[in-house]
Amino acid sequence: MPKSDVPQGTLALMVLKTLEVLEPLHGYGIARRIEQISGDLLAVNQGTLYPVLLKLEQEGTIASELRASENNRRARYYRMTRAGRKRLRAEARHWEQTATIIGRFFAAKAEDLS
Amino acid sequence: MSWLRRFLLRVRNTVAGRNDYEERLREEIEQHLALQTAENLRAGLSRAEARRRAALKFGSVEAVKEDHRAEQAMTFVQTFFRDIRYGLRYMRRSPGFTAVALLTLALGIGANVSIFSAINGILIEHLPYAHSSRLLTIEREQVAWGITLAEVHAIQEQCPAFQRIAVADDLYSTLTVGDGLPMRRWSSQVSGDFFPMLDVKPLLGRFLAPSDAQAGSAPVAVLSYGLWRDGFGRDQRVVGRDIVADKVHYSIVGVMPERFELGVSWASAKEEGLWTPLTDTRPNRRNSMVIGRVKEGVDLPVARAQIGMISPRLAERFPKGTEHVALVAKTPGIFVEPDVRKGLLILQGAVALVLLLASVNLSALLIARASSRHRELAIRKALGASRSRLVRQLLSESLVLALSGGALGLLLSVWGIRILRAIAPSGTPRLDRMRLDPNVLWFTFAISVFSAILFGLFPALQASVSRRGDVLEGGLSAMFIGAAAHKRRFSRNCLLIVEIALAAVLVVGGALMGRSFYRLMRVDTGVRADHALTMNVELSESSCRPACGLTTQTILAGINSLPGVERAALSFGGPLGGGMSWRSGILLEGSQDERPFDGVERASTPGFFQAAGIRLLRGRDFVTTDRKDVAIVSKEFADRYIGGDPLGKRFSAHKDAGGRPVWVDIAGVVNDTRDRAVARFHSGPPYYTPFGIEGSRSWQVIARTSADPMSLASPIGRVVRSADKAAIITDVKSLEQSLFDSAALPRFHTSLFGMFGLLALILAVIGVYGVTSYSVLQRTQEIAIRMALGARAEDVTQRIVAEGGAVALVGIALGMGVALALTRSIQKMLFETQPMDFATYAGVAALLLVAALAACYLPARTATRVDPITILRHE
Repeated sequence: MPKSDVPQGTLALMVLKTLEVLEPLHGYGIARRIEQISGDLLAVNQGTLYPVLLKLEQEGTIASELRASENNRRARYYRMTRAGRKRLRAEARHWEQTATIIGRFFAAKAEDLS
Repeated sequence: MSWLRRFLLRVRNTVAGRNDYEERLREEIEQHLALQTAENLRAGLSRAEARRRAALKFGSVEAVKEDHRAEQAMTFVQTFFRDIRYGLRYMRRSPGFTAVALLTLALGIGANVSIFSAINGILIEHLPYAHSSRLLTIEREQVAWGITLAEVHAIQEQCPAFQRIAVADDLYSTLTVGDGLPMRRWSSQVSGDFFPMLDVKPLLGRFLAPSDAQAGSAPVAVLSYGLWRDGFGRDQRVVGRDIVADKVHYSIVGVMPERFELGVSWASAKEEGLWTPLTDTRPNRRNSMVIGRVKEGVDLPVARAQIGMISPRLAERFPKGTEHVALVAKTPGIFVEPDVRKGLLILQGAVALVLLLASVNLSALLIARASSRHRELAIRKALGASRSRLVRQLLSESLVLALSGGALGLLLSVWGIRILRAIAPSGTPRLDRMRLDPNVLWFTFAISVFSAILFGLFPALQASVSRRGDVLEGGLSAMFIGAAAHKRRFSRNCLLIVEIALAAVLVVGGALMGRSFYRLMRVDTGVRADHALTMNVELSESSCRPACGLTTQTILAGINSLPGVERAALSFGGPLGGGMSWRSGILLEGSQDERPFDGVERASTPGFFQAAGIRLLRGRDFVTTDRKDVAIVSKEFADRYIGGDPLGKRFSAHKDAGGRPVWVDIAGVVNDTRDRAVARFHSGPPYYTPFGIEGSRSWQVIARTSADPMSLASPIGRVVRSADKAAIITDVKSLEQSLFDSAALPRFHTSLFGMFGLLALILAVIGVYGVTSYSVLQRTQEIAIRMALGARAEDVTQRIVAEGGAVALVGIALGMGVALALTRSIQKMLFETQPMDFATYAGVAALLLVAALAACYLPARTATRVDPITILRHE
């Protein structure tokens, strides 16, 4: 199976979902987590994550602070804000709906449509 | 509202120039790579390999930085300014191209701005009243008969849409200030509502109030700005001084602001004089102007509909009028002669073509130049610039060029406006309004931006396309096999064709106008224009009591005895125009058949033909004993209405009070006269009758002089004034000057069209020359190889010139076709010239072809002068 590109906006959603489960987390951690869950199917340069993190933070859905990391260096840790949680819930609902509708279309057989 | 928060943050970052994000990203990347490397090490890789894989997985650090930067601030704005700076630098780096481009644009934009300033000043209406959009004038359909006060009262009662209705009546009055000479100005009698309705502020003093019009109140007047300036030398204490208008003494109460125009009646095209209260309030009095202000909250169409509804009811109420003509409500407009209006619009069209031509010219040059920038753009693309980014950059450069060109054009238009003012026909209204006002500045900005898109977009789109592999490969292979090069050459040629076609259209227009003007100038006017002076005289009423005859005889004798005057005569209607027109036909004695007549009767004293230099072909001139029963006819009149030998025949041009024809004997025949202005309208031929000894109050003097005619202007004026010191003398001109003036509008149009045609030709030549130079420059290697393989210089030159010639021919053919379609619009401006004049088209085609060939030949010859060895070794 070829690697697929990430649709726009999806990466932000993945970041939010990751943080909901595992916060606070630094950039590398988020990247690794997305990689593991998507099962290496996504063709993402890890670097592309950082502009997305900045965007989310400027929108106020995530916040960041500096802490010591596991290798005892200063690292930036991200966590969700309340606005972030709200947005994640809304987006998740939207995705489920879309997926259900698309799923139905694919499941429909010729006789169902006639 | 998260997008808003983000937007504000970005604006803040842009404005504050914050870059701590850069530092933060650097830290994060470092941390990220360290963690990944550590993990790779744990997986058993060597240190070097672990680092390499971590970096690989992270992707391009520069790209991330770029995105990150784009995220934090308003990159669009920043890159825009960067592009502008880059554009300016690029302009400095190629001064030759920049100079040509700026000059082209400045000429194109400057010409447009100049003509637009004329349209803006003369045609676009700036009515000087507050809320003028709420005003409507009420007029009769098509005719200028005026509206009676009774009708106005009915409208006031029955049309509730109007808040106020005011009336004004224009009079051509004789004004005198102190001991000064009398002058003729328009004066308006206005109702009390008039000034309050227009809602303007006086420059000095006050306006007329309703109480001024009441019986018994002292006569007061408001001066126009022009009269205040000319008659009172802008006296600040003018309020309270006196002015005499038609023998009534008025006390001045105020002065109108400058540029105040009624802008409604035909009289307003002339200089306004003064305003006095309307005192004559008889219901049947007709007023030349009725104007109403529509109530707030009522739509204009409602008010118009009310006028439309009341109109037939008025017809029933006033059955005794001569004829009822329907009333209409119109938006007030400033009167401009249709010829002037149409001429200006056509000129704007022509000048828009010039700008289009300039843009196409630049477009072709930019495409040609893009070939030399090919490498630069390819490198930018290889470094990660997207196509839209490249287009944006190239367009920004065009914008910089266009705005600089626009600024230069604005400077040029200062001269342009001066030239227009100088050559505009005298009597063109509102010439002083032709200036760089905010409208014109916006227009300049808009057409600059528009032309930037026009000339920049196509080359930018084309230059930004580059295929992989096209990139850094240069030299010979690119010369011969580059598909992009071929495509560029094709679109360049297309642009050249359009350019030559546009030039052909404009040059044809200019040439047709020139030919028409030449023909107009060669019209035989039938008079001897040199050494002849004319002036109009109007005697005062007192010198005409009981008849003007004695005064006119005294004056004529006085003028004839002046040294330097060979022969002088008085006439009603000048040698070239004017006279009485009877609205009836010509009846020849012995015939029942009355033929329609559109010519005029002119009255003259003996010696008129000699003074005007009109030749007497047959018969005799008038003698002092002639009465109204003889006539001298022009040759065309004799041919059209009399036939055979006209001498001694009798004809009638009008009837007496009893309906019997008034017969006149033909005593002589003179040659035809034609005024150049009138020549275009083909009015009928005149006939002449004796200027009676009873005289009349207004007439024209014509004097044939032995000296410079203008030197006799004041002696003749003194003779007139010694007989009647209140006489009004106007239009003192040599006959030559009159003839010159009569062709003013055609001269104006012709000189402008000629200038635009020349400009178009120059631009087209620049375009063809520039593009050929560039393409020859790129083909140096090809040329060198051809010459190394034995081609002679002439062959190479011929090849390049032939290619240019082919392009030119297609362009010329296209242009001729378009010109055939477009020149119909100037048909009315042409005199005895067909819009499809074959000789003109052929001449223009030949001229353009020669110009295009010359423009190709020069660069082609230069190219063959190179030494093939030098070029090929360079490869």
